Amino acid sequence: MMGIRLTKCKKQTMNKIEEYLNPKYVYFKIDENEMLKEVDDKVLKGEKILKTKFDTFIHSSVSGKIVDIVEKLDYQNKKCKFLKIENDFKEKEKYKEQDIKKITKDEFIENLKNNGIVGLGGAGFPTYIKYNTDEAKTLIINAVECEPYITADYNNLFNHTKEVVEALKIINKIYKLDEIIIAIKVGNRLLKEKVIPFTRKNNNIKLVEVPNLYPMGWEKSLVRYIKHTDYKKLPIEKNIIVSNVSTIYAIYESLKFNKPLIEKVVTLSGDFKNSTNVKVKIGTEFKELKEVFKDYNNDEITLITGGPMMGESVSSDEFIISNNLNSVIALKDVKEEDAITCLRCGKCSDNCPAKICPVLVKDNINDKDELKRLNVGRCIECGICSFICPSKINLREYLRKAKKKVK
Amino acid sequence: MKFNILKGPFVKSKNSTHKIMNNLLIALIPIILFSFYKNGIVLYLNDKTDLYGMFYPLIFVFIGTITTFIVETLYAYIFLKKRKNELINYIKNSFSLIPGLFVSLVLPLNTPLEILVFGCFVATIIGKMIYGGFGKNIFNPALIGCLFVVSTYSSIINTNGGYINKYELDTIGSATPLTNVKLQEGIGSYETLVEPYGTLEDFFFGMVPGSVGETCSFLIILAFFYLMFKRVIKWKIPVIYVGTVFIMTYIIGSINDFGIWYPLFHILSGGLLFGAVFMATDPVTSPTTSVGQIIYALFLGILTVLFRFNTSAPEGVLTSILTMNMFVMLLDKIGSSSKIAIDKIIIPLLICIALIVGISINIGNKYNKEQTDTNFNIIEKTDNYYIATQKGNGGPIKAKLYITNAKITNIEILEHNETPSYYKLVEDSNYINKLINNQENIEEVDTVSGATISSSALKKLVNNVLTDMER
Repeated sequence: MMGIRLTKCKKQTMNKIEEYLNPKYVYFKIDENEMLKEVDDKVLKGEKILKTKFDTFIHSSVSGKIVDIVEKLDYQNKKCKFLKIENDFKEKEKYKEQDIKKITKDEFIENLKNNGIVGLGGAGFPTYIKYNTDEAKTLIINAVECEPYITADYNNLFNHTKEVVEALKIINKIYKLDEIIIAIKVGNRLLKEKVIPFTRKNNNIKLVEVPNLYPMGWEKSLVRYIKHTDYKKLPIEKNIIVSNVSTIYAIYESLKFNKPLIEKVVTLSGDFKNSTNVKVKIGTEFKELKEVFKDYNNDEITLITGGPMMGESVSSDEFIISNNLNSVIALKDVKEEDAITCLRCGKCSDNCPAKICPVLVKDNINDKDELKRLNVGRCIECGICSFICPSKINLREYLRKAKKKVK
Repeated sequence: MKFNILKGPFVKSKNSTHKIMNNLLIALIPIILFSFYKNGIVLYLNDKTDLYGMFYPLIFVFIGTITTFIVETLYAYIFLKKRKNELINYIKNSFSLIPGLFVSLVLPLNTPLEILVFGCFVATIIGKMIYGGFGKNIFNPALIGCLFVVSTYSSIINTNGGYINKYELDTIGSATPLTNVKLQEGIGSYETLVEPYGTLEDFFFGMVPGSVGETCSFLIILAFFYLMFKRVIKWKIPVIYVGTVFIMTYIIGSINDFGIWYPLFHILSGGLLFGAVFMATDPVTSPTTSVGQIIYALFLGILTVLFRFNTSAPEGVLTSILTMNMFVMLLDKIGSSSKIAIDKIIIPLLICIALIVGISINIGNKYNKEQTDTNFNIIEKTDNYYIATQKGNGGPIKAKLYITNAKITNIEILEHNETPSYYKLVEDSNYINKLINNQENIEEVDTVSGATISSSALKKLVNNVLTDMER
């Protein structure tokens, strides 16, 4: 089973992009990170303020002063401690083009580490770790974006095709890859026409169209579809690296201008008065962005961070946009339907991309050994089981519970 | 401004359990109307019944359906203490009409109404409620009700006319096609199995005796495609179930030199198609995993053939499904493991294939031998010789066959009553020595022209002794 068909809802934000790069305040989650600056310290735009446990850095996205440590909501609706930086609006665009023709692998890795490049597909895992390998033969660029509404990756690839391809050429040179595959959804005619001239000029860059199915953008599905192979934990087992297209664009800026990851494109869609993509400073509070740009269509709304399948609802719009948030979707008529008794139709098992049987997980939710046998650890929480259930049982919640039990 | 906190996913499929059940009912409507035509309108037009009798099939189905509804509602009211809105919600989500509807469709129309009501009562209480209601029952509730009625009241139903309606009583006779199979000596033939009821076309379009909803194969197949297209049923189960029965009866038929009509006859008679499409696919009591469904369906086919051929019960579908209901949990275990390690399916699958081939050949041979044996008799049997008779043209030919090392070395004819002039031809052509010399390829020895019956009797005699030695 390759996935399910979802209504795309992407038209309203396609090829629409705006900017909001001057927030009054920005916030950075302290979490387990090591603080490199104290309260009252001055910071410049792009200056390192936090060091993560992976030895990468988080940079201030504006110039200004650290004014406080405050409690704020993160995009997953959790209250956390944040560094609050007041923007003094004195930042200068000071990025100079660098000569990257002769960059070595070590320099490349060091660059990604210093500039805090992380996977922008949603996981937020440091990119340098993924690229710190000698085994890569194939690079798959994931521009599938299979969740409804979101068009951030689409816009990044569409507007920066040249830059993305240039980054790919550098990576190709460093790693001496066999092939680079750009994966987009079938039916994106405009995007295809934009990318094809570049793939013609470069022999080992190919464009592959993948079916319009969810969760086709999941690494495992993508590798299975394009390379007809399965891996256990990481694609590098089969000499494959999968990177999100927005990550590649961030790599481009990092290499070419030595620019850290401080901006990103976020899709605002659904029941906003005007849906669009916005390029924002990482750390911006969503409320500020929303007030400047758009308002909701309705007084009562479900605000979702991430896509409607895998995202979470947040209890307020005073949450902070972090580097792994791709979209904010407002939906007005979402209701939780009452679940009725399971019919045992087996649709959840038939459609599970991770080959789990959610109905059996639900039956055996208290039996730890049985849960282990059912391989609940493979679940990627894509939500298809909850989507497809005719009895409206939220099976993903059972899976989450089961995963915790097995751990 | 209000922000709702909800659990994702925030988009949901439009399909619902109620839609699934509604589609199931839609698929059943033509089948019920056909029964109304066959068991009501046809009778009325042929002056076999009055107006009440014409509508009786509809009344029958209605009473069955409403009984389970009433019984379950009362149960919920009295024992589950559901009141007002709770009760309404319960009724909405427990689909209590379905078991009664199926009970009335699987039983013959000659079932007295009070027995139907009792069967529906059993279906709801023993088949469904004691397990905890909808979704928790192990056995198909409708089949539990039917099993109860068929095993306790079959004599009453039979004195009432059994599966035959009044019109069929005149035109066809007194037995359903599958009961008729049991009345045959040996395996029967096209003339004795199909022709009493017309042609296979009559079987296909349902103009043969049977229970209320099971006869019209055409409409059941149509319903199957509708339900498969609407993704209501687990389509693998009926396809593999019917396919298995087809393959097995095809093997049995070929061993007995029957054509394609024989497996078709088995598929189109009795409740096989109805059971495969509507009962075996009952979501609650069938496996949820694909592999589980495949093994489930294979075993349903194997059991149905075993029940039909090796027990005195003519049908086998009901008992097969109830038997396999017990193994659903186990099959789902195999199914869930083999989703990840695909090789786990190999052993169960090999067992199924071995059983399918083995059982079919076994049953086929059993009937095949029974057929030829009637003309062959062993009188005396030692390690060194057989004395046996084989019916020839003028009566039994008695012969003594000498055996050394499991081979016939000499044949001595002790007695025969064949026409002398013909028998002389056999003797002249040295036919007996030919048989002895070619005993390994006995089928290839040509009979003597002009004395075909006598010579082929001798050939069969040798052949039968050889087969007997092998055993």
